[in-house]
Amino acid sequence: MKNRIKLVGLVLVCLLVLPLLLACAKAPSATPAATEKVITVGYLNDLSGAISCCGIADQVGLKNYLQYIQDEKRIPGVKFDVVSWDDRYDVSRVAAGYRYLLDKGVNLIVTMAVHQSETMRPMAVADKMLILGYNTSELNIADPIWCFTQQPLTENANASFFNWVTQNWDYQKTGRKPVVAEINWDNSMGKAGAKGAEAYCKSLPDKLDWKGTIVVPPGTMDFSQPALQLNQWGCDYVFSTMVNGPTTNLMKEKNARGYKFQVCTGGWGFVCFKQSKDVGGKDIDGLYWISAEGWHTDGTAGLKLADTICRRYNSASDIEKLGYLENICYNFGLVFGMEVEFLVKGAISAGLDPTNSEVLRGQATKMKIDPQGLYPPMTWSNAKGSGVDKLRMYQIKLVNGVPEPALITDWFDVTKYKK
Amino acid sequence: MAMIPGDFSQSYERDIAIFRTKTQWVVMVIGLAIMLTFPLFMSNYWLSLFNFIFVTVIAVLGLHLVTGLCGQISLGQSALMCVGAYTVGVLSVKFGISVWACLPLAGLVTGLIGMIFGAPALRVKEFYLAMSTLAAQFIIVWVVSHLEEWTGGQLGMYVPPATIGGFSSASPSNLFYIGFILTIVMIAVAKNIQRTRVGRAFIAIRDNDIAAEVMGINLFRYKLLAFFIGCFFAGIAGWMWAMYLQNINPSQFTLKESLWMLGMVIVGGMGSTTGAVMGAVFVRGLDMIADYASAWAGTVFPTIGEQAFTAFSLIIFGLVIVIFLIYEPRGLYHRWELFKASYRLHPYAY
Repeated sequence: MKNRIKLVGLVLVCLLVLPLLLACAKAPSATPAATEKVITVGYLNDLSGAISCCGIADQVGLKNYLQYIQDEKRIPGVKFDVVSWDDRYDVSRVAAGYRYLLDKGVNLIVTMAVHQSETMRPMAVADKMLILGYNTSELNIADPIWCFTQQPLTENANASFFNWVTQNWDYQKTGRKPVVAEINWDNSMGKAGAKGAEAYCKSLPDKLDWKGTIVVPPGTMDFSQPALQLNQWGCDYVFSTMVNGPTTNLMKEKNARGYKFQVCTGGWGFVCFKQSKDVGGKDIDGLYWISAEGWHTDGTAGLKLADTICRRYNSASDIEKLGYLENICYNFGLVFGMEVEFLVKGAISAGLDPTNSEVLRGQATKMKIDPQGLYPPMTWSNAKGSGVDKLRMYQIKLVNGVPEPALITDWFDVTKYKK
Repeated sequence: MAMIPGDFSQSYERDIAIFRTKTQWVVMVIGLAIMLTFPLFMSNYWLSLFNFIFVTVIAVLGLHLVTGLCGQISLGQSALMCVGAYTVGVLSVKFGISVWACLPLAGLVTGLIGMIFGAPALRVKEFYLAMSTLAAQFIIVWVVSHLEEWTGGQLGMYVPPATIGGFSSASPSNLFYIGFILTIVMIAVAKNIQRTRVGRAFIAIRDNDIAAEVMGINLFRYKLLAFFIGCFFAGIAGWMWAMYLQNINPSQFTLKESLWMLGMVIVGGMGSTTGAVMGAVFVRGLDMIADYASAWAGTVFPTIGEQAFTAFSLIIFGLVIVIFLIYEPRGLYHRWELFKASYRLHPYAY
């Protein structure tokens, strides 16, 4: 009897849940017309792991832009489909994800973190599969290049910050050189950043008093000791090659103890600005931020477009809850969409097959797009793989008690510091 | 192993044989032959997944010998795989040694390194030994990431594929054959170690090391041997890993992976070679099912959102393992044995 009651209960629950699920179910989509070409974009990124706030916003941006292309009929006769793989920020899942996407017939793959594209690279070279990435490393853009990225090498960004310091330090008034250092998590991005900072600062001993690099284990969130060390060195400027959380904690530690050094972080350091703002509050006031991306209050055409697209395809509650408009990764996604648009358009206008990854790669080497302030003009025509060579400098300032990035230097050449 | 009622082992050789009946041999040969045809009809994704499972099975077999058989907890198996992978990388890239020749060298070097971290096993056991092997996880990864001249540091290094004539491990189907053969060989080695004097010594140490010593088993020697063999397996798995990704980086060898491997030994059934294989296949397979389920659910129910399902898959994955351990704490192998026994004894209950 008891079992029968349980069974009836279970059936009832199922009957109640079923309409709910059916209500959420996707309506059968219209099959593409016979003349329509379908470009399948593979998306491999972290959707539930350590950097998922970035991966989710990026994915939404990409999907929104591809939908925008379709709705605005910017490439007639072409439909886009996105197939995703969540690597959970776990390198061991990248290879299986790559194969999964290939199995789903993707024409190109969009990814983000450097370890993802580096891991896929040998397979992509063998399979002739185009990869669009976000940041890069020297290994990634070694010949033959199959991975084309938005960001310059991390080392260039760090060196550029110290270059900015030399240009803005008042040597006469202070009567001394600025004391500088670098801090990073012990990972590939940190290593590359430290390399760039150290090489640049050591090359200018008369202009910069380089103290060294503090390397902390990946995942470190307590910066009491590193902050103390930086203060004991008498640092004026410190570059943090770390993501949101640790950089925010470093700022909190510095403010709590009254240390005077200024902190700067790279594009990665503020990808999810809403998160940093929520966690850091007023403590992130004064933080420098060197980045290729535009901020949504900059008012350029590209950023207005981003705003329009975001509002068109996402509910107000999602925008608020996930903070897309304050998440630079949403913009990365839009730029990825623009890249795909350029490649497919180029292939079609050249009379080539846009579903062929090798053709798309050929187009990538000719790419030239201007995201109008959303990002610097990008070109891969030098076939070097890494996209932009211009960065912006922001400083977080309190506007009505709320931290907001304020642009202080626009578009400076990251290769200029090189002799 | 339970036999069909009325069928008794009449010799010692038959009693310790892995396959005791002709039927078992036939089933095994047919099974292996079927598996060898997989590359003919399976997509690269599935082959890649199998290759990943092969890597895991070999590493978990090593852990099974150290932990499941000899009772020495090791939390550094992933880092030891790192030693194997970098042995191939450094020897092939920096010294130009053939990748094939690096296969046994990866095992040997890892075995020797593993012995260093296994040495405290004579003095400490259980949680204390776990801490010592945990140190291996961090020390090895730290050293590898700081020997930049040799290993490329945090930036990692590319490893050339194993080639012979026109055959290259860069293709998932070719790597499947390599991985398949390696896995079969390693399973056979692990299974046979268990049946030898050494294996029995391991089991004696696991069950009661003082009693084992009283019986004349040299604890230091056998514990170190267990670490050497277990780490040798990890080295071979590292070689396979390097062939699988062709790009190695210290961040690929995490503590999480080491813990999962220990979890696989437990889920499969401690002390059983079949259990170790079952555990590795089960956990990796479940992971894959969770991926597919979340991708499917995200397509069918877009309103709920792909991301929600992706996160949900991790919860389901964890729940299945917890429920499994509550209802079958002796592992999959025990459940398999019960199934076989009930099948053989049918229609009798006992």
